[in-house]
Amino acid sequence: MQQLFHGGVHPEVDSLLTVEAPAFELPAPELLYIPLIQHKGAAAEPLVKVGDQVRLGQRIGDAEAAVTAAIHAPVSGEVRAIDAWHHPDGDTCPAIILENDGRDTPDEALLAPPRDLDALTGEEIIKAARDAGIVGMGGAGFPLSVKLSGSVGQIETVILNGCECEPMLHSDHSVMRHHADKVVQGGLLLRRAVQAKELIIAVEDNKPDAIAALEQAAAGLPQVSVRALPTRYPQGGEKILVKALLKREVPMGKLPAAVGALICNVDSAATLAEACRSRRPLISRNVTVAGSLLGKPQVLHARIGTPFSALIAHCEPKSPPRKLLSGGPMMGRAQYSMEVPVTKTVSGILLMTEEEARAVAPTTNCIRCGRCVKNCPMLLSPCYLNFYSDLGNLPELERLNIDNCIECGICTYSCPAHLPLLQKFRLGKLELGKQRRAAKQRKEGGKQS
Amino acid sequence: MNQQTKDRGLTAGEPAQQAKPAAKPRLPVNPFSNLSTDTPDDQLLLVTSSPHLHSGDTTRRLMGEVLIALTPAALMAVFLFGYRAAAHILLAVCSCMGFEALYCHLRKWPVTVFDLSAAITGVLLAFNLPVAAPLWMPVVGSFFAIFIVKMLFGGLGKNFVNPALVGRVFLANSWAGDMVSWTRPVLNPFTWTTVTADALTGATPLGLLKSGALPEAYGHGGQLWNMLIGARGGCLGETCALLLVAGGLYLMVRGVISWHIPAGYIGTVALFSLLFPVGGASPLLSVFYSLTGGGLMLGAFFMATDYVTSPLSDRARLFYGIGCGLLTVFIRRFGPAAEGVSFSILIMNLVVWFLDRATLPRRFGEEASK
Repeated sequence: MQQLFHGGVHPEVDSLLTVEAPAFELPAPELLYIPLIQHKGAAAEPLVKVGDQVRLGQRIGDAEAAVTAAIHAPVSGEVRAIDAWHHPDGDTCPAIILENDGRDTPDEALLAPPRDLDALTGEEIIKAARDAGIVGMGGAGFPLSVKLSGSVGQIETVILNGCECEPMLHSDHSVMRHHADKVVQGGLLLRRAVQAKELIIAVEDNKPDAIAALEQAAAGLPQVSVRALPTRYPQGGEKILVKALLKREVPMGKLPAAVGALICNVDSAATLAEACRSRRPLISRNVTVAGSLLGKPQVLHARIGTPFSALIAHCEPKSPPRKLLSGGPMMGRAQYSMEVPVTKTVSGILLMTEEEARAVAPTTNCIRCGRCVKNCPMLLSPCYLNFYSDLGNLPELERLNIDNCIECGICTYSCPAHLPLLQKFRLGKLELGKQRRAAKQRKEGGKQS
Repeated sequence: MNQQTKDRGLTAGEPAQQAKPAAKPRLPVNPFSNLSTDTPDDQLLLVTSSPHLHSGDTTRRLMGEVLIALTPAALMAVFLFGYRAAAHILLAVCSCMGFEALYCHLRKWPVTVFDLSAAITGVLLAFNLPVAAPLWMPVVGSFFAIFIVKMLFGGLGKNFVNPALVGRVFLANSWAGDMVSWTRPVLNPFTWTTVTADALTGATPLGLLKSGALPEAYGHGGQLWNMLIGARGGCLGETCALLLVAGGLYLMVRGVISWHIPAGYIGTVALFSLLFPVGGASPLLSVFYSLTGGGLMLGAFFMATDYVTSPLSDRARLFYGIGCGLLTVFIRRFGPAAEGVSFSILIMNLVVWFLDRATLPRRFGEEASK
């Protein structure tokens, strides 16, 4: 199939799992750790106290800020503590620690009769997204209601992103295959909420079963099209996807809304459809658990707050992992503890053996082979970015558009010299951000005096 | 939260919080209670920055592929010019690697010899010597190429001109007589070729063309065929056009080099030879001799494509190849020497940074913002 964006790679990795069967519903553990930050924006404030009894689906955290997301109890039980706990994004974060009573007593709101999806107005849909605490479940974690309310009337095309962001992940694949109707309904709700014309569901062509299921669900809906895209990382990247589907490039520093597109993860869309119908908030999600040392790698449906160790134990590990990732192999974060909980944005858990984790050759100097330049989907010159970041030359990094880097990791993946390119660029961006903030402060300080 | 963070690892042995509902766990819990400073390193989880996958390419693999691609031409050189050619190649490779190791040792750097880049420099340097050159020449040339051109500038990836070519130019300018003592190919690998009156009668086809005569070719069979297999006067590794092209194609198939530099280089030389035939030859014959009569094939596939001293992007590589081609044509036509490949590549090496900057990719999203 023809290539729809510049560069990219196709890593030959296999997660050794199938999504023939629907994702297994992992029983909720005894203790759940629900971080108060699972989204972009302000941290949620706890709405419960230690010792409170909570019900399944009850709102237990929220904030007043414009950009934030509500957090709900994934089980019924008692609040045991509100304290720091591991977070898959690294370090610790305040979390509500729930003790599961095993009864899953639902909140009153969930007992109301189901709503008719066709009767909902745009505002009601956005409110449903806000009430259900839905965020971008592909990993970005941007609150859906904020995304929607900010782009009403500006959107021509709603794109449902079914291109699994990374190799080895199959969480969205499972959703599309087994809940294709919900995905399509969710997409149509999004389309109505932002008053868009068309709905495109984009899927990579290595998932023919998902494409078939979606096409069946979308049959007879002329405004919905299912598009198969070549399997090539990072096809699921927001800007890359817009480029591939609409042949338009999102300008630097802008959102896809700038070119009339709204991108939403397929799992988020399916969750929205469910939230609109039954008011069930985002309290569980599909998580791919993969790695060569697992006896039964699979996609699990787990409650938010379940520790990674519980998911891993279910997949019959043959030995403890040497490296544990939250997310995919290209952009995932390495974890220091098995006890980090599943959050709204954890799409996969990868376990790596000693050999896989240590599969690195010694670094050499850059030999200027040009692979990073050839493969960069954002048309950067990582080779020169590397050169100037070694020199600490921030103005030059800025001139070479380091801000455009989407941190896909392709440069580091393809570097024969094994240079930690992405790590250097992250540092460069960080330093540049610091410098800009300092300059802004100086400017403001100057005005005041 | 801060308190918890400070406690990291200091509360070893505290029971983890997996208690039964009956015996309520002691909360608040320390998230780091199951980590201890006593835990051996190899039992802790490894934390690194993403990505966690690698394509498996290494510098050594790429350099190794180049060596593989050069091997057929090297064997052919031994067949054409006798085992003295093998001695040159071995001496150059060993001294290049030796000098690099020595430099690393003197500077207390990690020894970088096994990335094999020095070995390539050695092979290429030997390929650029006439077989009758004295045996100290590859050693002296290697010293200049590795010590001065490569290592003094910082080692692999830091030299801005091709070390093997500078080594050749250094030798050619210091011992001009030895560097043009062309011998006839002997077509017998078991001969120790020496500079004898007989051997000296050889000349390079380009040299003959320059003086206005159609080149003679040596050995048996048709003249054109001899040009292709390399049975003609010249540097020991540059003569067998067929195997050099085969090696270059191998590198392209293996994804080591792109077609842009060789295509731009050879295409330009071919075009100008076609439009302005040399030495009174017919246009097609002129193209043929220009391509196979000198060091063009070696230069275009193996020297101009050296990663370190060529541009990064495909577009810049095409311009670079065309530049090399133009300079080669001009030097061959108007310069005092018959051959101009080395100098054209060296001159183009100097404009690589300019080419890179001039062909920076456009900014993603620029189309849309206009």
